[in-house]
Amino acid sequence: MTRWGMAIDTDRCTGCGACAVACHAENNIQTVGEVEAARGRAMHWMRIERYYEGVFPDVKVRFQPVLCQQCGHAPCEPVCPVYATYRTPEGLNAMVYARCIGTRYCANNCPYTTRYFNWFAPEFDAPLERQLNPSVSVRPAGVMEKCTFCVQRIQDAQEVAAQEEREVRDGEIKTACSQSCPAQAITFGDLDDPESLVALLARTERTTHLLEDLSTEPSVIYLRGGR
Amino acid sequence: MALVMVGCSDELPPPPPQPIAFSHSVHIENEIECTRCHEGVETQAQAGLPAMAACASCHRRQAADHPEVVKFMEQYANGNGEPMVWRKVHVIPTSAMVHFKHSPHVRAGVDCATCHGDVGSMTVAQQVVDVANMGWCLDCHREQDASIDCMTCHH
Ligand code: HEC
Ligand code: HEC
Ligand code: HEC
Ligand code: HEC
Ligand code: HEC
Repeated sequence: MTRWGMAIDTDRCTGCGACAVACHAENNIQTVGEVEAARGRAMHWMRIERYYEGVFPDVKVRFQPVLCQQCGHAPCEPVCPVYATYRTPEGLNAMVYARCIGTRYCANNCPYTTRYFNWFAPEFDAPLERQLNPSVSVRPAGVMEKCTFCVQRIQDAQEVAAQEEREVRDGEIKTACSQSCPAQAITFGDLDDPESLVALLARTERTTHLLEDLSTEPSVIYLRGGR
Repeated sequence: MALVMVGCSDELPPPPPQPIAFSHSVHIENEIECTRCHEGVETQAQAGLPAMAACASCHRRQAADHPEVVKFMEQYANGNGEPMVWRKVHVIPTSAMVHFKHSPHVRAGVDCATCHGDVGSMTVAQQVVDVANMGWCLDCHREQDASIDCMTCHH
């Protein structure tokens, strides 16, 4: 089987934010403007959190890119009254926009706060509407959305592989965030393939998960420390 | 009495008016392949429609005095490179947020006619099967062991 996963090396991350920008462009994510962002309505499927270690002037800043953790036991799933969110056979936490009625229970129950609600109908100032990705739906007001691990890129690679009558190769699929990371901090791949780079990284002693004690079984791994 | 039937809810919409009276049957009779004009159908999500230049490459000489061809060549010459605005015949409404792809179906050997009827013998392309119907997609996907996972189509 396939279980998509991601390893993020926080020692490599410089906090530049290229991943977050690439994610917006790839996934047609709307921007809500300064005022609404201040009200907590900003939508970033990928965001960068900052942590300060030490006391001034001897501080170190650590960055942590946070996205949907594609949990194996996702707290968001059982609370949806209409089954609009569920786990796919390939280990993605799917969000069926057409099915969503906007109760926002899922976002309330997400310990990583990586689900975003469309408070407004999306508006893309000209000429941005011309760069919308046709392989990704533009979500209307009233619908929940979140990271999909760039499922459109996964499906495209799977289709090309099927046409060439072969398996998808490790490293062939790059999510927008991983593709755009100048420090190559983000690795995407199949955790169930023991040979894949992401599975290799997952086996190192540098592996940690966000809020591990919640037993959500995230598919996103954070690498930190160790030499 | 026949009039009573018109507007019946499960009837398919009539073909939309097109800018040029393009006939599939005339072209298919002349043994032009579907893929010559719908170039993306084997490899892309969208089948695609031919650029005006592609039509013109034949029609500078072919049937050059046919009134529709004359009209077409005039639009081509005076259009400032703007593409022809063909109206869609088959539409899955964007509100369903579904991503249909041609390439997997063509690869799996599903015939164009299964979903589009015998377009090759139509003078006006029109819908024969209601493609904006999830049940129809799923019936076949179950039958042919293709994916019925929501995210396959909805994302
Ligand atoms: C499994 C069903 C299916 C098959 C097989 C199929 N189509 Fe389609 N086709 C569709 C659907 C559904 C749409 C509408 C897509 C939309 O609105 O997103 C469509 C749209 C189109 C369009 C217009 C939009 C576009 O994609 O550019 C063309 C042209 C077309 N098909 C040609 C073909 C040809 C040629 C073949 C055979 C090689 C073919 N189709 C096979 C279902 C099918
Ligand atoms: C590969 C060459 C070729 C291409 C490409 C082509 N055609 Fe044609 N077309 C023909 C031939 C051959 C005929 C039939 C001519 C005849 O009967 O004398 C024809 C006939 C026509 C006619 C007259 C139809 C009738 O009812 O008799 C029109 C209008 C036309 N084509 C429009 C187009 C348009 C628009 C395009 C581009 C979308 C196009 N053609 C692309 C070869 C082509
Ligand atoms: C000479 C070019 C040409 C060839 C060859 C051709 N088509 Fe088309 N096709 C067009 C054009 C132009 C349109 C748009 C105008 C229309 O809908 O009539 C179109 C429209 C269509 C549509 C409707 C698209 C929509 O909007 O939903 C389908 C389906 C289709 N073609 C299928 C086929 C199939 C199947 C074949 C082969 C049997 C074929 N075409 C061969 C030029 C061509
Ligand atoms: C007549 C049968 C048939 C119909 C109707 C049909 N499909 Fe398919 N579909 C298939 C087959 C066969 C495959 C290929 C499975 C494979 O071998 O990968 C497929 C594959 C797909 C894929 C790619 C699956 C993947 O694994 O990446 C998508 C997306 C898809 N279909 C969407 C649709 C949608 C949307 C509709 C309705 C508008 C539809 N299909 C109607 C037979 C059909
Ligand atoms: C093979 C492709 C395919 C799969 C798999 C699929 N759908 Fe759909 N779905 C469609 C198509 C095409 C439409 C649009 C036509 C219609 O409304 O019937 C649609 C429409 C819908 C709509 C109505 C949207 C609207 O605004 O009209 C909902 C809700 C929906 N799907 C939910 C789901 C859920 C939940 C699943 C998984 C259990 C699922 N779909 C699986 C193809 C698919």
